[in-house]
Amino acid sequence: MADIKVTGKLIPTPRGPVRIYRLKPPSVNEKAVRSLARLLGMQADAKSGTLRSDADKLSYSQGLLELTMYRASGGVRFIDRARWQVDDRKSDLKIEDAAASRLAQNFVKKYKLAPAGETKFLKAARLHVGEATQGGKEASDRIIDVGVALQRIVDKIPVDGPGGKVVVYIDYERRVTGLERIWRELAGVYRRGESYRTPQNALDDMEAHFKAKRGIIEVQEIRFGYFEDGWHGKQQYLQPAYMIFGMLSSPDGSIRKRTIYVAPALSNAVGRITPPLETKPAQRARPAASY
Amino acid sequence: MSIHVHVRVGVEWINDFHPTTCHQNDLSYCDDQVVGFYNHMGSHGHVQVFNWGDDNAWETDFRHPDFGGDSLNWSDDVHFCMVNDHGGNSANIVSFYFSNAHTNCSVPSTKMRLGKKNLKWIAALGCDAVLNTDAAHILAVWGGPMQGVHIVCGYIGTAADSSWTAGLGGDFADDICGGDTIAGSWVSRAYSFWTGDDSIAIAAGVTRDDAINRRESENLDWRDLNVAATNWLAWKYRT
Repeated sequence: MADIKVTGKLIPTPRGPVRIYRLKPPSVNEKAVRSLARLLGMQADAKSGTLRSDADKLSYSQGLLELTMYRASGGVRFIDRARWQVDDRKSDLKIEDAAASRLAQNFVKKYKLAPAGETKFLKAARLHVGEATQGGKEASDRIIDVGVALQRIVDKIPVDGPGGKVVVYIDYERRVTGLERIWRELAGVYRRGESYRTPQNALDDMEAHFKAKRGIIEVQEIRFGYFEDGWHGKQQYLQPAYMIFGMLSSPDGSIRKRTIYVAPALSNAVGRITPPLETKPAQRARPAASY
Repeated sequence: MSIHVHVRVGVEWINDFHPTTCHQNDLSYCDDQVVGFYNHMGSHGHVQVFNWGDDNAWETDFRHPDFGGDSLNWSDDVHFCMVNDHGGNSANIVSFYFSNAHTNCSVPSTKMRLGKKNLKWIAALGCDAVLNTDAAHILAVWGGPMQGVHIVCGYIGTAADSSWTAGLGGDFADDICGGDTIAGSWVSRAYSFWTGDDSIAIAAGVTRDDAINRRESENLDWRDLNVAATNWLAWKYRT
């Protein structure tokens, strides 16, 4: 059984009223993708562009512009392939987080990608390029793009998880080159929260989840917020959760891997959030090496 | 843009370690990412060569015959190899850790000769492909092992073993099978604002322009455009 050790201080159990929301099923079809494409400045009439479809997503491309919608989540990815992550081999983007955030917020507002007042700056992540000779000469490092993540807020509570954010990509000329948006629409209140479970309850869930696993998990951080899944998650409810960030570490600390467990925060939560670990079929033994 | 060549694909992953030999903390989701990659590559028509998990994954598959290994029949007998397990990096040597001592519990990068035969691209999803982004460190870790391989993909520091990144391998495969660049797609898909995964891709080249071209433009169609000598490395990362 995995041994859970909390290395930091547990957060207090939240207080105050909170709700569980139903989520609208995503509408991912040709009409929706063309409509969004038009909003983002693509021509997108019935005769232009190319539609591609597979089990996971629907894409519309026109020239070097590409818009993809994910069927499970309704998540959107829009890329200008002429400029997104492109290195002109000389530019170095020097931009403070605050300025990058303003550019991203303005873009989100202009294209109505999130309701006003329902986002906050989360992080700016910079794309670097570098090169050097094998001997370490002529080393260089430049920044060619910044991705600005704006986090969703619901009832003044942050939405955490792989979803619940809009990411806007800005290039060295401070132009927007792409965006990612995972933002499931609310369909109304499903139920009001009765009482909160404690962070310790969430840790107990985590221990039960990993009961068949051996090792030590050092819990470094627990966050509280609404949880929203990523591109491929079919999510029906938006509910409060504890997000537990841990580290699997060898005794000498040299071999590490992070782990994340998400547990419902309400006593009347809708089901579990982290899927149960699947029992995987054992592989047949590999034949002995022939060398 | 579509891809015009077929590539051979192999993957290895370890979730469950043993309490006695080769002991490490168990992992839970390594197979999801790499088998997702394997299956999606196969669904796009590429050749699935091996999928070795847990005790079937062996360090000899990555160790070059100069050091008694069998890499030329496994990791270096495919064009694209993806491995997900525990990784560690000490003194500029990255190691992959295995659950089964066949013959050892780990293989250090000093015993790898990546690309000596057929390997063009390797994605190492364990932790610590590099510990930081200092040029001297990147070169010290990967300059030696990259001996013909075009691009190495990995993480800066630790990576997450998480249900929430299970789709990474499939998304990455779909991107590159659609013609996306390997380095660009990796850095974009593997970076996570939520889990804290910082991604890096490192390309080799004969000249500065060659290495940069591979970093910026190489896709699966570059399979047979060999790196004649690793005189330069060019990398991109998001952090």
